[in-house]
Amino acid sequence: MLLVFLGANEIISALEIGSFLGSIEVTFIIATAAAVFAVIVGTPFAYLLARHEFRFKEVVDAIIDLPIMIPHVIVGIMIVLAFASTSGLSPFFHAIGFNVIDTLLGAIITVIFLSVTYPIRIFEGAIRQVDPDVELTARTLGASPQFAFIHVVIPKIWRSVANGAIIAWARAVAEVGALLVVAYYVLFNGSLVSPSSIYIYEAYEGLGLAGALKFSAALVVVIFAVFIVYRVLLKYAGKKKR
Amino acid sequence: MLKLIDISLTLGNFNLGPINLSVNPQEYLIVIGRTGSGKTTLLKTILGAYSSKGRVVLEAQDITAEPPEKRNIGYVSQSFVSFDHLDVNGNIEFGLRIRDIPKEERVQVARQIAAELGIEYLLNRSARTLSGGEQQRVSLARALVTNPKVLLLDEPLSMLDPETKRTIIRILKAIPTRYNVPVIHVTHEWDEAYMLADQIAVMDQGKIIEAGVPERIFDQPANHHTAALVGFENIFNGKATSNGLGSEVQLENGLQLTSSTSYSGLVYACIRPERIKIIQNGGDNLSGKIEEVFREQSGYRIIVSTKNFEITLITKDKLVKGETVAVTIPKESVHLIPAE
Repeated sequence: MLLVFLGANEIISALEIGSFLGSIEVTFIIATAAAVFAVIVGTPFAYLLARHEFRFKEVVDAIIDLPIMIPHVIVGIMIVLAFASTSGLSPFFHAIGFNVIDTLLGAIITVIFLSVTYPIRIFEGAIRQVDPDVELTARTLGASPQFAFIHVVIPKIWRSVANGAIIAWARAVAEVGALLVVAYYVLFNGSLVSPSSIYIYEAYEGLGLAGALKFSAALVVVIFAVFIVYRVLLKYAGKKKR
Repeated sequence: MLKLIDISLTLGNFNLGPINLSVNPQEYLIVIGRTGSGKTTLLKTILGAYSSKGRVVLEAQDITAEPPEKRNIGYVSQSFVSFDHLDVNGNIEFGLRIRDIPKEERVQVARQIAAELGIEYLLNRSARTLSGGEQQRVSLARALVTNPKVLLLDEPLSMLDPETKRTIIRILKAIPTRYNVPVIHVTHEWDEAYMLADQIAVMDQGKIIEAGVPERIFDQPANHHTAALVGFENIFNGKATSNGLGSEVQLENGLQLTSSTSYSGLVYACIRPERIKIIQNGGDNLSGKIEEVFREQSGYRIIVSTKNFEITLITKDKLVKGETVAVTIPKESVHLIPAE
């Protein structure tokens, strides 16, 4: 709040700067991709963890938690090693034109990796709260496991799914460390654009605290507005469901 | 007709089976057993939720390898399952929607079964606003509307108040003939089983320990676990000696009883509390101090303690804790179960 208060007079001017708007646009694209990925891939994956026992489940659990256990710069280095070095599968990825360094795709992969842990854990907890008899009942009525999941489980956990999605989105917006390594800037609409967190870091480095303040305040206001709109939409959707 | 042939499975430390059981068309079979005896596991095995050894045969078709959605077996869970994002109509027609039944037909069929179960007035209500009894009737309607070949009920009365229970019992009793479907209902309540069952199977530690018509199970149980489950609260070890007209039973606790059952050998002597009588003038062979008195619907449940053992009886007389009483046990009330 202090940040917004101090930078209030300059928020509008910050939002009139094309390069900053571009950085917000890139950030929103990669964050939204992370949220969509979390929902589409994370929900069934969380279901698997919540409902099934399988060999090496503890290892899979630990791998899911890995991104929040290690410094994000190291995650960035891991991604570079995996996709951009001359060893491992990198030559193969290069051969098929799959490039992650300083690309939108690379930025998306990075924030997905760093943000997916939280929604998976949220979804898993919510699924555990759903009585397995609900699915069994649906199946005795003729529903396939997939039909029961989509038409019976998801409606019961939709609020947690929505919360997990916005957490993934927020986590992606806030990412700096790994993006500094993987996607300091990306080619977007014909020009090189940094994600907003790096844009602000650059402003701080080049212009000092005063220079970074207006962009920081502007980004906080924009994110806050997104959260408010999202919560209002959720409330409206919740009322419609009742 | 549903037949279970040598069904067995292991879940953690629990072993189910081997179980051989069948239920005939329009028959109401109750599986009774203590909590943890494997009743729900048995139902879920029949449903296909667990893979098991052995065979499940439904109307001459082996459905052992079929998933739950292909078995056409109706199921009502103990935990009042409702699809609470749907209204009652949506719940009832859920299975019809999966079968691509046209909307008009679905509405008509759902309305008809709702009327039969007395829940037509609920059709437009959200499922999340229903009471326990209403949810149970909606669950029944939802299971029956798809014309299942057998209906499985998992303790359907356990979470209902007594008044609602009486209403649901009338509905359940009519299901096999009204909907032409056999029912398997699991419970640990012996009065519920006695009221509803055409046949009873008794389960203990994952196995069916005996089966038969309710009168036989309740009056002449063949297993002392069954006896305990169906209300024989006094079960003593002893040795019986046949005397032609019945048996003399010397119990391990020192008590001597006479039974009208003729048998020689080690036995469990089983006596229902309501069959033991309090007598006024001394006892023929049993007197003791009242340890505890519990009020209940049919009178008072009294625990009488003697030097070597305790005995439970039910009487209409209001007695006081600490009082000394004499009791008699009619020989027709002493049911003997061979202990070998």
